[in-house]
Amino acid sequence: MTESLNLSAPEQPIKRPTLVGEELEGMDEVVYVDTENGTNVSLNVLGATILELCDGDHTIDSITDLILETLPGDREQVKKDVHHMLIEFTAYGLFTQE
Amino acid sequence: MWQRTFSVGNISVRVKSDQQHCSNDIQAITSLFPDSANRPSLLFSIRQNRIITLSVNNEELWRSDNPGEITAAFEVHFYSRIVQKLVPKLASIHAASIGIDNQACIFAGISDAGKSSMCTKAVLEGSHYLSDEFSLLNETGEIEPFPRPLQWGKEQHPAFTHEMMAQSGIKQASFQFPDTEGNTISSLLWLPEKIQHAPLPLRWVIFPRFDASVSTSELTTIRRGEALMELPQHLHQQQRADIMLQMLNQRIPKNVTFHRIRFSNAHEAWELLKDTLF
Repeated sequence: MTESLNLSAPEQPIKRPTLVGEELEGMDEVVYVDTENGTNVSLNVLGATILELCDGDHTIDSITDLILETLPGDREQVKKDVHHMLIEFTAYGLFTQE
Repeated sequence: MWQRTFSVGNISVRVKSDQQHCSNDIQAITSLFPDSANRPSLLFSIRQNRIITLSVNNEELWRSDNPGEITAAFEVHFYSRIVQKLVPKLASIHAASIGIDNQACIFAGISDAGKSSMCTKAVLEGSHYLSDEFSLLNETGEIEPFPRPLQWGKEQHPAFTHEMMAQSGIKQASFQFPDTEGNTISSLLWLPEKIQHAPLPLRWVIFPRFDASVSTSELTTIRRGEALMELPQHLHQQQRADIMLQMLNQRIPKNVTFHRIRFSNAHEAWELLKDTLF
């Protein structure tokens, strides 16, 4: 995925319901395809986990907390990484517009 | 009356014709498929009365007084009806496939990507022939043969001469048919000798890309995910995108490797593949 920092991420992002993921076993990769328009995107497992947490209930802070439960690290850095990823997802049109 | 019953993938097909010209053409088109003793699930019939009619399972498909037109109509319906019957048990990929050391390699891509060129070169170099157009992926990750003849739309091929083909023992046939404006088109058929009749496990997926501007062939390995995002567009039977992706991911064995090759010279490209992959 490329840099796209001019965008902002939604407060409580919602993954497009038409996105369906297929995990490539043993390859740290999940391929998502949008059943509505056929576009697809490939994410590593962490990226896919973050995308799946974008259900309209979670905020960037709650997603960061959940990530830290399994992958300990510096909170500020993890939050920055999550934020960056949400912006990327926005740029790729992976969220609903509502 | 000429008739023949043969198998394609897991189905049996019978063709009957009492029109001599059509019989000769269709004999060549279907000659590489192995005989079958099973009850056919598709019965193509060509009958000559005042006009020639083509039907399948008693459904009339075409009528004309021109045998070439009937043969051309047969060819179109023959492939499309078979693919309809084979799916979903077999996934039909728009790809050429060859057998090397009892493993299958497919060349997938759009028209003019160079699939048939790579396939023809492989066959000239002694590989077993499975198909130049329909690579049938079964549920256990094998490619089932669909040995229609190698087909050239023109009399000449930029990479292969008729002498090259003849010297390797590949037999030639052809048929003529009228286009929509009444011009006669000739379709050249090549019948390889080493036909693979049993399924082979898929081992390599290659996306060829003919590019006249490339001076030396370039081979790159790509991720499985990248290949799986591209392959659905090459399936003959389109379904919902996620279903195609899931099906391909389940069927394509984990040890399969995926590559792109850009080339301008099929002979040189084949040498690179042979030295690097096979």
